[in-house]
Amino acid sequence: MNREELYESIGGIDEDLLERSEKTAASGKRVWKVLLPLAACFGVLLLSAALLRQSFFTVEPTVPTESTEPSQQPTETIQQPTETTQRPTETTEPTRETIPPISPDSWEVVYNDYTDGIDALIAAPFGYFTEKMSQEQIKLLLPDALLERTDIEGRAYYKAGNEVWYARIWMQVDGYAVGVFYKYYPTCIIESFKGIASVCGDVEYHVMEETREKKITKKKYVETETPGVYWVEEEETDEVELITERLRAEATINGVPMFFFMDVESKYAEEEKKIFKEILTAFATYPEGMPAIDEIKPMEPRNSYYYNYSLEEARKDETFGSYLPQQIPEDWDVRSVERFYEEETQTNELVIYVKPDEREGWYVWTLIAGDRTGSDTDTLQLSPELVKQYVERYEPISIGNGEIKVRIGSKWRDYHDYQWICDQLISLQNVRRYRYYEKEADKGSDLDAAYKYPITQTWG
Amino acid sequence: MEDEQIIALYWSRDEHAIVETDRKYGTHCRSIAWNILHSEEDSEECVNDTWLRTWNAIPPQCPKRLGAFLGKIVRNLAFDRYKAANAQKRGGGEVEAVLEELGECVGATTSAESCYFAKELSSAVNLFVRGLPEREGNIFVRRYFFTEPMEQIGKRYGITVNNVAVILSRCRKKLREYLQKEGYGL
Repeated sequence: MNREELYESIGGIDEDLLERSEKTAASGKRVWKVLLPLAACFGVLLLSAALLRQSFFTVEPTVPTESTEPSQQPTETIQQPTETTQRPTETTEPTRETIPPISPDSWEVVYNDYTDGIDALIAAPFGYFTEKMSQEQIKLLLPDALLERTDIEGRAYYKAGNEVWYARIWMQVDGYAVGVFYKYYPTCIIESFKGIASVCGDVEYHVMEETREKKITKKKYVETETPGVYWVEEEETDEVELITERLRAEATINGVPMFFFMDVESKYAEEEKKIFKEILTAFATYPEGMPAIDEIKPMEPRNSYYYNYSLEEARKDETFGSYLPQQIPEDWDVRSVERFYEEETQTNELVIYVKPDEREGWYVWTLIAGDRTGSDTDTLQLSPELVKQYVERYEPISIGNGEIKVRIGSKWRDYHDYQWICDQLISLQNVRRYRYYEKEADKGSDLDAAYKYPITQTWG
Repeated sequence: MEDEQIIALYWSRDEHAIVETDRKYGTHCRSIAWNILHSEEDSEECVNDTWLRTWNAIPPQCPKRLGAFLGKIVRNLAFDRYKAANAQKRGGGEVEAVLEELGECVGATTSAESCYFAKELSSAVNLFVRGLPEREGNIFVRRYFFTEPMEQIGKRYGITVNNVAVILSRCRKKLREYLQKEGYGL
């Protein structure tokens, strides 16, 4: 057997598994969308907490440092928690007691599903930026023993005033990923643990376990007349298998609360537990003075930032503001407006999440600057009647002079959804329609196809 | 149009079946072909071949999941085309990256025996994917069936590219062990 044969054999994967991968992809987005309002709520709470802190600390209003890169960075100062640019020495040892009493119980399920969901659980300030940490910065946070591991990378999150908010490091140890979060500001919330299973040095760690019934399927393949296509006859038996979901640990080391986690599964749990414990031990024996999170400073130039906008603030955005709809219909609910720039991935976009009337799912408008292509997806259910109501003709559109593209998120690459949203967007903005693919792209039938060709028309 | 309606068109030998299939699944199939071939022209031809093969296959077949059914056909056709085009060279692109990754799980030889076991191998791989945790299984499918770039997978599931790479690495390790255990000589 060689790799080509293996690749071809993967072509025989059952159709339900293929379909499942599509559906789960959509639900993943949906879970994330559910977190957005939560994060927004946390943001409000944290603002309150931050303002409360102000009354205790001597503070100076933060003026976000002007950035030379990227030029598209919003010039508006977004409403932010007015943290001081000077390290608040009163909180050198933030403790759990300083965390606002928000129960994490209801987050548990979501948190288990997605490793990066923790990003949404860490209540970020209204504006922050993030950057990949240099190896020098990582060295400030890790015990020497772990520096020898390969594939260590970290990302620091800064408040708009250049203050470190939290840092996150990923280690890949023997093929297993272990995440470590360093929480600096007391108002940076990370989920609490429900129970403690074991103690490793000074570090308590918790192992979540659950059992679930997993159906074991026996399959018989029946050849069809089409080469490479087989029918499958299935027999299923029920079997209970122990599934270990996640290892988690927390510790306050030299005043810095830290959180560790690692996805595991039953078959390899012992091996992963060993690695996890090894890492905990390394941290538990941290030398005095570590970790030096307060020495993590942003590198210049900033290479990414993120803002939660209000729609009004977004309209003032230099890059995208003029392309936003001036009016949102009454039955359209704008839930979130996000501005994100990341040099590393050439991301420069503004995303608007809207939900029309009571319909399930989310619509996403993404305005993208530059040449970044690709597709964004979200779930969307449209009734045929509604499609008929809005669809007059199908014309992919672009807005702007070729530098701004509109990406419409809806059900995965669904023709009618794109069409409907395009019509909506056009009607909201009262702009002209354009067919910009007439010759070379006449094979194309949707926005994705359109992205493959340069957009040259202008409008005004 | 619902899948059942499209299939009914095939069964009634109505050529609108192809139009409706293209309308509903054209982008999906072109995406799969593109991931493998990275050629507009080849992808388009591959998709057209897919419609023809589907036309010939239905009836007598009556797929329950038309999208997946088409996905398999277009993937097979695209990979056949890829192999023909790359018989004399080793090209780059996503499929080459995927093949390199899969190379970790197998040996380097082709034997008559291994060809004989091709169908059984497919069945074994299928069981392997079913045995994976759902998220890992889905990521495996996106990468090694749909040949999607890791960046796209990461975005799809809301995880980092690094995390995708780690999960895939873990999957390949398990697959190698599984195939050895199942007697597919590596």
